[in-house]
Amino acid sequence: MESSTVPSSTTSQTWRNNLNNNPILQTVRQFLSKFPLKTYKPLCKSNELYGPRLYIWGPGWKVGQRTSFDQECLKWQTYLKIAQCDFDIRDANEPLMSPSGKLPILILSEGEVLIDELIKNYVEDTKESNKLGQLSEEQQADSQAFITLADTKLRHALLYTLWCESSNECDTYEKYGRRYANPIDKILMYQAKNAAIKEMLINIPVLNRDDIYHEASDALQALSVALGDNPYFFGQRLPTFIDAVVFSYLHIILEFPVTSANDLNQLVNKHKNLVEFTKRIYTEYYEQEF
Amino acid sequence: MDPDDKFPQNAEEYLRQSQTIRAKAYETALQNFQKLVSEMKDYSCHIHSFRIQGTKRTRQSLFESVVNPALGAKTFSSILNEVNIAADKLQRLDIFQYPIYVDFDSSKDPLAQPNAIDVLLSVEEKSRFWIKTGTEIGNDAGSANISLNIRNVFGGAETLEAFMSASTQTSHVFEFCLAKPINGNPDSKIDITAFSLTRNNQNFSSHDEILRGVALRWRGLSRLGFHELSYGSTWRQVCNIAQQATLSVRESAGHSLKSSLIHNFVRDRRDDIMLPSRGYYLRLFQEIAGLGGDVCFLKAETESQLNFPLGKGFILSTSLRNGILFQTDGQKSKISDRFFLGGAQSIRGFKLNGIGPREEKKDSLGGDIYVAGGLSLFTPLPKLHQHPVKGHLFLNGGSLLQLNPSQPLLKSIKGLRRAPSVSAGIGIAYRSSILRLEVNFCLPLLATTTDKLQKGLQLGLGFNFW
Repeated sequence: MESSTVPSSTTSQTWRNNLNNNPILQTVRQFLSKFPLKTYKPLCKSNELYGPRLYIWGPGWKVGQRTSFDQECLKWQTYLKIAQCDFDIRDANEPLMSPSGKLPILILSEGEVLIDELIKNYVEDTKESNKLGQLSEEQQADSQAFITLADTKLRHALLYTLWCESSNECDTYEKYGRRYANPIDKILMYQAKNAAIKEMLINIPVLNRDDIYHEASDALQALSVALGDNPYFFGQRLPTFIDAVVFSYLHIILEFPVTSANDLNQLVNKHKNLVEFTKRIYTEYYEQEF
Repeated sequence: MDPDDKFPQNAEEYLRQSQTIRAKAYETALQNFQKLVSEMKDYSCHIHSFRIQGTKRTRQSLFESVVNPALGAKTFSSILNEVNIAADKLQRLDIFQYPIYVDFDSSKDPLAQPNAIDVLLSVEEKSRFWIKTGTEIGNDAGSANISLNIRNVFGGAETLEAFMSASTQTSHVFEFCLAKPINGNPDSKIDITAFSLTRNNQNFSSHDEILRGVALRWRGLSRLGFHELSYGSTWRQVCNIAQQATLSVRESAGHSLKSSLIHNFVRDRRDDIMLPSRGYYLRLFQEIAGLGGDVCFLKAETESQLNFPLGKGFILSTSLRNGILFQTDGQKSKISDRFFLGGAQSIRGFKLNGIGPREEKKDSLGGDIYVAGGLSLFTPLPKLHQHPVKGHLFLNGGSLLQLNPSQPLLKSIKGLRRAPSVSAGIGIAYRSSILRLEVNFCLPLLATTTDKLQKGLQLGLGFNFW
């Protein structure tokens, strides 16, 4: 009778408390806590990370190269390298690992999975000493503009070279599709090619080979002028993010097997300072390991 | 009092009398017939013509293969026998309405030899299209399904089935199956299937698995039991790795193509599938993968169950299962191929797939080798004798391990004894018309630190309990 005057929420609270403090239930809980009577240690070893690990497409186009053969992967790999982050590399070659369906992913030892911009944030948050160059605000805006230029014009040309030039099909297949069993490889390569074409069509209405290479040539010209005789972009003593981005494109274009259709390679080779720039970063950050 | 009362009484009386007379007449007729048949048993005669009436779509070749053995019969009894067998086969092909009428007559054909018999089967074809919908519960999952069927597709008792299902565990299933009886034999069928299904393993292993495959399969009966032999290829895709997935699960993401030969044998002599009281069950499964595709393994699994009635409603049930997955290419096994253990239907007292290799108490990784056993005592419950409810005391145990390719196999097998997971408990089991329901109070007795326990009450729903 009394309980009807008490608000219902309080009733359920007291009801729950009563139940929790119920001596019988407490006994049951105490009884259950004694089980299991005996516990063993697991026989299988746990797969643990002792530091950040970058999962990439790899190894590189040429034998013995630790650089990824995929531009996106190489970009982040290089950025982590130039920031002198302590990380481990694993040739995953499996984009399904990633939450976005694209490699690379950076897994931290706490189990956190980072992609794209999150990797950049991670690098900026954790770098202790200044291993990266410092850009002024104006330079940062310019840097952003050049990165956008590379990410559109150079990327289109690279995608076109990889996926649309029939003479390069074998080389692309060797890296991106070889590891899958027949006929899955053909299906997956077809899907990847379609994704590449779709990505290009977002920005260009018609895929015209000459136009794409012509625009890439213009972009390379602009980058070459911007770099000048400096070791890194904007006359910096130390590399910055734009160096990682430009390096990732140029390195892959230069290392990609030269065939008759590889016009992109020739376009880059016209600019001696860009070739020098690519070689310098490679020797400094990748070759010193060995 | 009412004069009309008398009439129905008389009528009943009359009815009863006429019924007894008719029953007697039927009995004597039957006796006479049997006498006649037994007298004529060895009477030599043969079938002159075999007519089948009422077919529209069914091809003649199907009838020929079914009826052929009867045509060779030389005595009256063997003709009766063979024709019955043929009629029974036709019935079980599931293309004709029940019943199929059989008529025997001495041949009317003026050219017929003496002792010739005409046989006439009157059949009515079943409708060609049918749709079935249903719901299922089992292995902690519920599902709703629909199947569209075409019967007798090409007139040879072929069936074509398109099956779709959506459920909590498997997100969606699509299956297409064309089956054909061999030589008109309903117990031996060959079929070709194509399927696509998405399995949601997020609960215990933080990933989804998409399977697409084709298979050529033979299913049939031998003297020992039911056999299934199939060769198929399946494209497996481990994907949608959860944000919080453990590293091993994330690293096992990817595509693989399994191309394998499977033999499955089942001998089921239990009196009931869901809550048996006597009989035994044996299932042997073998798989060889690596005839194409990129996974190579040998897989074998055995399941057995023995049930003894102890009298007065007590039933003792024992089960033993084991399985091994051996990689023939020295690679690590794939998560899609591994065994999982634990749950209300396998080892009670543990969560679904809660036993075996696991990382950080979270994702089950599955194992390559397992042994599991169970001992259940079902007891009658007071005042509930006529209901399918039983008291239930059980002891379950098992062990699941991953094989180390660098270690000798025997050493790994011995490892199964090192860390078993064992539980015991008490509860009730109820067998409804569609599934078995169990509520048990479980106590895990032995466990590894990584096992996921289910102490106290555990609910089990399904068909197939260990």
